[in-house]
Amino acid sequence: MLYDIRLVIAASYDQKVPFARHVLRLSPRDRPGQRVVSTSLTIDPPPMERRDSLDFFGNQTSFISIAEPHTALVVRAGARVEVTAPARLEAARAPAWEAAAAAAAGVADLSRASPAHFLFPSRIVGPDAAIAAYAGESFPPGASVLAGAIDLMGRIHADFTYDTEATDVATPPAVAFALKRGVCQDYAHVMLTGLRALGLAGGYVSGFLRTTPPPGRPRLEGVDATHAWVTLWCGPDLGWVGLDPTNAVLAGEDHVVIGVGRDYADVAPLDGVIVTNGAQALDVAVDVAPVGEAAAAR
Amino acid sequence: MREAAAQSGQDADLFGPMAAFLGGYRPLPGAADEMVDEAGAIRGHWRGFVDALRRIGHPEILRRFDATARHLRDAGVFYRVYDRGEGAEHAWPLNYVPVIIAAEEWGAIAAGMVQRAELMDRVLADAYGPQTLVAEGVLPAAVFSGSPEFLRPLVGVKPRGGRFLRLYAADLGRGPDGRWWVVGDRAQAPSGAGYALENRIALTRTLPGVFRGLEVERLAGFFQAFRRALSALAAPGSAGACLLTPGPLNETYFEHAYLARYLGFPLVEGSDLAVREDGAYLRTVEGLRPVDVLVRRLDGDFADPLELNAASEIGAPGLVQAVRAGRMAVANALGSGLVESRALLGFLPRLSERLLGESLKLPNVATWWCGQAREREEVLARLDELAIAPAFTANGDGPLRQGAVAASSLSGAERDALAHAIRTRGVDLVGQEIVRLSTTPIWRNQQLIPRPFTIRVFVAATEDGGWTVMPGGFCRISTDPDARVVSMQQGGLSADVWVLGANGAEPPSLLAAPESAALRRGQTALTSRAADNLFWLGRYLERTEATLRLVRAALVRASERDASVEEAVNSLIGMLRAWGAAPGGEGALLTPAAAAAAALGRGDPGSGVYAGAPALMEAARRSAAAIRDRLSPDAWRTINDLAAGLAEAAPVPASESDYLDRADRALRLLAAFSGFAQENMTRTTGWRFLEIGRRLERALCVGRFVAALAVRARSDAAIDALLELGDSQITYAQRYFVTASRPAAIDLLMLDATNPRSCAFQIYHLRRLVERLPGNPRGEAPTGPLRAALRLETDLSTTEGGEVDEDFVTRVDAMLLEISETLSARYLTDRGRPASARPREG
Repeated sequence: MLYDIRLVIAASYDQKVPFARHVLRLSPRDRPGQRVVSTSLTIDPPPMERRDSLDFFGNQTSFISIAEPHTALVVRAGARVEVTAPARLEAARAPAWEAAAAAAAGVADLSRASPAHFLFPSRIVGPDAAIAAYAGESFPPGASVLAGAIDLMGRIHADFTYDTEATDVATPPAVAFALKRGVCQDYAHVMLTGLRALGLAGGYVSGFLRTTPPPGRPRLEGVDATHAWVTLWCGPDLGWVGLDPTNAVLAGEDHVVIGVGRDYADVAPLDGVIVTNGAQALDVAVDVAPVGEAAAAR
Repeated sequence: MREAAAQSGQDADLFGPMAAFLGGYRPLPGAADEMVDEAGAIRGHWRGFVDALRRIGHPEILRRFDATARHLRDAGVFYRVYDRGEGAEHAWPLNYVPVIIAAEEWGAIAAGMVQRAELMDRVLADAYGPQTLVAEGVLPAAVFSGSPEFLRPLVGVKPRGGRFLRLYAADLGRGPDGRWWVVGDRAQAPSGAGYALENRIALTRTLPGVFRGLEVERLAGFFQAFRRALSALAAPGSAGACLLTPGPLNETYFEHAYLARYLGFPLVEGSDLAVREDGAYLRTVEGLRPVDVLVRRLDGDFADPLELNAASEIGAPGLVQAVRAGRMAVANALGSGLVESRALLGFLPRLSERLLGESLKLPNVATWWCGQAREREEVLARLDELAIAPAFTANGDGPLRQGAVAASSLSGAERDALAHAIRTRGVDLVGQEIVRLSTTPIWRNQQLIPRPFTIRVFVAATEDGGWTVMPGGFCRISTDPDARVVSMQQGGLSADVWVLGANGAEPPSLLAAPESAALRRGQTALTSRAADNLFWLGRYLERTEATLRLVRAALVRASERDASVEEAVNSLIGMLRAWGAAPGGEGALLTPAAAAAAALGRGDPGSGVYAGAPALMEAARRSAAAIRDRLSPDAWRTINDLAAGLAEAAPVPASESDYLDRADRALRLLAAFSGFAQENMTRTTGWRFLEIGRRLERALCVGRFVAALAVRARSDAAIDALLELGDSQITYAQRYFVTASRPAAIDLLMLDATNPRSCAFQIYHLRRLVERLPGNPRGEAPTGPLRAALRLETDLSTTEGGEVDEDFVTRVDAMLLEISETLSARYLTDRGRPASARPREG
């Protein structure tokens, strides 16, 4: 499926910001199952400096500095991306979760896709006894790692209420878990907390979700902003598998990856440092439409 | 103990008059002791020291120990403990007895430490470089990737100058077998070297003859080598090596300021740095100045909110890119904390063979990383003999919150939970052999008793690519006889470490006292932040003084029943109310005692008092704390005494004379500080900002005094109060024989540039100070603060006493505030907070 993606992030500040530095992570790259035809990125006011590079995990990253005093920042990102549906996975063929955990701990690989990076506490995903116990119920001894993860994903989807008001961008997983509410970011962080508690290697995926479902399929949650889901290392043969707990589906033809990290902090679409004493507000709009289909009205 | 003394007649004899506190000294069961052997006899290399103590004798020793304690307090040596609120500063707990190590034994330690520094440097070079250790299966990837100090943005970045480590340290302890063991590595930003220096200075002051007689190795050469190697990395024209501190609230801030002073490196905070393109710059009062070498005392992860921890408010955005571009050397390299992991310890013997082709000279405490099946089973099988510790961080959760814990010391439930954690997430944990540490004498209740200790030994990279070991160290002693984990945060002692000179060593010069002198002098770059703090220190001190003078003037008139005096008193109190030193409120008059209670009180929330003298002085102290490297110990102590004196609770009920005493005491200390600033501070740009702050605030205050007491009020009593506030009664009396002429008083306090308390005098000096600030080239039209100051000066010099009215004083006030604002805009820091909203994902 070929998509045209458009995203606008608009920040506004109560007081003039004299100098700002930002990190932007908004451009998809080629990955297995995903081919990027083109990307674009425009920034207003125009930055004094801009440096584009790949971060450690291979995500496209732009560092910008804005030196003129401004009260608004508008970032527009566009991309045309082709996504191929992944092959059907046989959960039963995946190794036992204990074996997957042991393999991840013993792996002799420090490269960007190595599960070794995704085993440990990260800035947002840390140890939590309650989530560990909850996740453990999906992984009886000897269970297939993928079957366990699919079960956990389904339980989170069933037990949680999608609620954009209950949490915010900084809500820790423990709080979202106690509320059993939140948005895709919270769902993904809770699931990662559970997977890592078992010694499994789990990553956080930031990306886009097709805005309007194909005819006859329900509209998915998480289309009004960038989306987030989980990627799990299922042993050396299966490798990484994407799971979307917000929608209880494996990541597939509707999911476009922007970046992968240990949690949101590694892949925040917009981050940075501005010096201000005033308040600030952010607005995000996203449209992901198959090429040729009329874009959703916005 | 008594039994031991009786059986050791020889020692009782040796101790002589010291027997009272040395005679009962016996090693703890099962632990070796540094000073005495198994039989209780003094070890050879301690005899000289013990003999010397004996010669000095009992009462004299106590006198000297007291003098040392006083010195440390006066020098302001402290550390901060976090578990009590904001982190109180604590007196430095120095043990007056050093740990003494013989030359040969030290030689073996030094060789082992050099080897270990080299090994750690190579491990880092591999982890951030080719990663062959992982690829070849020498190390599991998770041993690196599990460390929060494996800073991924630095992978593939070669440090400027080649070395990852510039200062490395390890904590060593002696086991019961007599060998020295490494109990922990410090590779990130080792603390303690400055404290070792301060301990040395304190102890050589206590026991100068003893120190010289024993030919103890000096420390200065080590610091010179460290400094030379770093300065060599700095390009000509840059600000030179700077010491990067997290700031005054850090537990070891004293040490940062102390080392910066000693090494002659500017002390900078993250907010002092600006990165443009690929270069880093220091924000100074002269504009951006290139900086290319940072000795960091903050954790690597906090160094750059842009590429590392976004939550850091103490880093410099963009610093990683400056490092990546090869424009910035950070010592130790960002990410060096990686080799502090306990997970690495068990692999070190193998890594030493692999990377150096040598066996490890200093053994580690035996350690098993539970991320591997065989090691995990071993730890589970021997759980009750071992300590369990976090594999990658100093402290963990639950029972591991203090770091290592002996599994046998836990309750059944805690122990089971720990075993479960080892089974499910063994990657996070290690098991370690429990080493019983040797003991050294500490001074307690006028007696020496043995207590376990560790020594932090420091290794610095030298200019020629080698390593040098500090001949001494930072010793920490537990006050608990059974302690296995020694931490200052848990209330231990610290001690100096004396390494005795090798035979035939040059006799040290009696004149040389290199440890007490800074290695370099001269004007270092003045950062905008330091200038800001100096400016505000000046303003806060002056405002404190004005507040105290108002309180005093009101109190001495409290018993007067004359209506015009009462009116003057109400004007005085009105000024206190106007600047937040006394509660506001319409109508209700305050008595002088009530106003004094408020202005000298702590200012409870809701009382409307936010700028009483204690609050102002606390603000002054905070400004001073941020620039401690620029203040003399005497000046700093005066500020501390002032803040502490004013913060003390007043007696209840307090009389007017209690308040007067309090105000008088504080005013005397303020005068003392002015003396230090005037007599002992070199006329650098930094001093100018302090002076500008004082002059500006004094001009503001005097202008307001005149407005309230000679423009708005007009009585003789008011003029009398004005002259008292302006310390000008004597001048006035000499000049004018009549009492209380309003125009004469206005002239004296507002316009007479020869009266050091007048507004015009302040402005004259203010203008001259501002003129000498950077960026005011002669012959060019003045701009900004200088222009404002010149205008004001002209205004004052062309005005006569009779022309001073409400409009005039209001204009002077406004122009002074304009000088303050333009000065801030041009030279000082932007006081905003770093922040950026992040978009939520759906």
